[in-house]
Amino acid sequence: MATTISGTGAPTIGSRGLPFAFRGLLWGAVGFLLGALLTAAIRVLLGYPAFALEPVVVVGYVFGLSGWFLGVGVWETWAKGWLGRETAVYKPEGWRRYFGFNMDHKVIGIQYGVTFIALFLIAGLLAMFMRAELMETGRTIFGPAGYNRVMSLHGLMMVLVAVTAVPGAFGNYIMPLQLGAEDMAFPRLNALSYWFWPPVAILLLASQFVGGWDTGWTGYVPLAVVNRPGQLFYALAFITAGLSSVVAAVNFVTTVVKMRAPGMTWRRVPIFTWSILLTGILSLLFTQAVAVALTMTILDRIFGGAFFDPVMGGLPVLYQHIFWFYSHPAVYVMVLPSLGVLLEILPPFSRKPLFGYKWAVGGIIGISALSATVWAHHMFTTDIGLESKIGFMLTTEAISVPTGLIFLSAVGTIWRGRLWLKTPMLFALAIVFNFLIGGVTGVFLSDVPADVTLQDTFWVVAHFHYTIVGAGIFGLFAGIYYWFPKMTGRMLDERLGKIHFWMMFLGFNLTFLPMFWLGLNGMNRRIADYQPSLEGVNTFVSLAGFFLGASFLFFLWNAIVSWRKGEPAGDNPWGSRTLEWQTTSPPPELNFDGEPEVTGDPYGYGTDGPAHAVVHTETGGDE
Amino acid sequence: MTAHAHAHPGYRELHRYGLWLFIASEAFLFAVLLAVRFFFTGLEKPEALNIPLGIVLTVILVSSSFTLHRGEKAAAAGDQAGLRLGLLLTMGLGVVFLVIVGFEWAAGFAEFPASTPYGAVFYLITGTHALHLLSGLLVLYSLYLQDKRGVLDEANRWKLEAGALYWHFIDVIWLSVFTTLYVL
Repeated sequence: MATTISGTGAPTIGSRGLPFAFRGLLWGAVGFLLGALLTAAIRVLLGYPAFALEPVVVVGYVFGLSGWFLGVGVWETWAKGWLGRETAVYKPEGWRRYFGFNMDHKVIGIQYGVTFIALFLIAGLLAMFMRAELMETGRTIFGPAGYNRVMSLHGLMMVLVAVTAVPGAFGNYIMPLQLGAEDMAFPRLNALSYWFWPPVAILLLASQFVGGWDTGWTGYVPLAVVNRPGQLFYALAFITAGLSSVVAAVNFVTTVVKMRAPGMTWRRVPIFTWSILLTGILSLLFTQAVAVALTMTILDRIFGGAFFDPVMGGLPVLYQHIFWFYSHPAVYVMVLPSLGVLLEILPPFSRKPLFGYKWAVGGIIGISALSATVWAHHMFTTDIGLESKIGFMLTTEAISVPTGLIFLSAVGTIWRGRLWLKTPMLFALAIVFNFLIGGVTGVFLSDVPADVTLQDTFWVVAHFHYTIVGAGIFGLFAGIYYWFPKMTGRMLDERLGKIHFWMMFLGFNLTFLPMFWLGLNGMNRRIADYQPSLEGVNTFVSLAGFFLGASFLFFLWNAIVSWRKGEPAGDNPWGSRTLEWQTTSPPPELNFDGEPEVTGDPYGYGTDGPAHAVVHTETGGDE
Repeated sequence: MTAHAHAHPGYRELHRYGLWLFIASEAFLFAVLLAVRFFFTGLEKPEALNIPLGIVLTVILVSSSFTLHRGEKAAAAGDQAGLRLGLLLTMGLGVVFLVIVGFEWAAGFAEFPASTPYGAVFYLITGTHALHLLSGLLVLYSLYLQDKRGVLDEANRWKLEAGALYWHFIDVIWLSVFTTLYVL
């Protein structure tokens, strides 16, 4: 029972009747009501009025989340085992397999990919509204309060997309294939990590019916304590997302360490898998901190706690310390997997080995280690003391060194290669360009005196969009164009892909490059208005932003049409060496029609070295 | 899965590794929480803090680790009755612990409410620990049910090891909570 999780012997469920996701909604609603009634009963017993929104929402949500999970399939596939009864496996065919507690990493990778593209497009649409507001000075469409609500929702949704999309889609789908494994180490935990996300989406939606919130994605106190109830939904959504990250991280790290095919020494692990490993370690350890900060906010709101109210002896700056202790490593969670995608794509499209493999791995490890030591560079305008500020300035600047190693590896790989400029390669090259601008402008922000001037201006907005969109999101699309053939068995249309790329690349740079200038000239972020002298540039930025937004229509059209009727991809359309290409597209249920064995370098393009891997079939012959 | 035997590690080795990662993550959670106490109140603590009660709580939890260990030993020797006794005793001690924490909170609300810095920290840390202990109790109860149904056989013995490891971890966390809140 427990030893065979993919469960060839266990009964299967979910092929008929109401899709489990809907049953999850139903059971979740029942759970919420139970929690709400329990809260009301306890309140009455303690002599309070029965109803108060925030306690009811918190307790209701905890019960509702449990109901949701049981309903979506945890009950049959897992929880019955806790009671000593027989469990089943959720394994329907066709579209139904995406709407329940499916443990196949390939299904989960597609669930993540589709969900996060949808969230990305919605959050991108919100950015279009923000740019519409900033087209002209004064009130344009929704004015200051509405602007900050939309900005906050855009911010949190995009942060969640940036943290999750690449590890969720490709970490789940591709990484086990690259290792030659038949699934992740813990398939149930894998499904669990995905099904945390619909409740996050529901909370974000629900928050808008109780006034939303306007602290941005950072949720700084004291505003977050005295704010509208929407702020509570923000905190619950963020904590839920964090739980998903921790669960996923346990799985990623265990899988990379323990599930590698025979012969895959650490020297032969593909670079994308390395980036997922280090991302997993960062999420595993630091996500807990943000849960603490947000829990303290919730306790202050509901129980009148003293954490962040200076009148009661609280310390608002402590929130920033704890929040950034997580959230600075988190920005590397956003970027490292995409840098992994970058270095994964460059060798096959340059037909050259990855330059300085060991140094690139060292760069990824170095960034991860240093990322834990730089959090207070977000706090140079607080009273943390000049000595601390100088220390954090130095650690921050030191991060340029391992980052430089990754650039060295990227540029060295392209150098004198035979570049094959297909869409994935174009996106990869764009990352090198964008991330250079993002990195160099970050050095100014790491400098204490410069930061005191630039803090909370559009310079900061431009800088982090250059890193997180310019590398993180470009990496997401690079990965989609590279691995879509493996995941669907069909090629994306190259012509539409190139239109998407050039519109996105030009639109992105035309939107965000002028923002550096706006920031230097004193335009503040998170404010719906600006001085009249900046109007011309803002109008330009907005128009460029709309152009950038329109590029995704081409992507969406391409993805939908190609998934249904694209040209068949074959096993290995790019002539790549890593293991995910040594099986069918999409791969069979257990990933390989045989036993993968790793025999050489993953990136020995154009060399005489042995193949990276061979797959020994059951009949004895090698493929 | 067995028909397709890769050179993968065994079920137990894999799960043990995963559980230790989870424990590392949880250790970070409590490390942040304990750091909050020193950040807020330095080494000051209220006079009204009931230190003897804290010692009683510590003794109860350490004993519960002992009874659980006896249960595990019994299971290893094939003594199912001894395992069930160990689980029941451990759960009983866990429940007593939670009840005492409840009384301590009720008394504490009057002396150092959540609207004081020490109070806020105290309820945050002891509350987080109590929730973990509650989850540990559910795990032990699940093991008890599985044992009663006879499915906690040799192939599933890992579940017992995992539950016990988690319970001991919660105990160790209590020792650091006790040191941070009551001693320092």
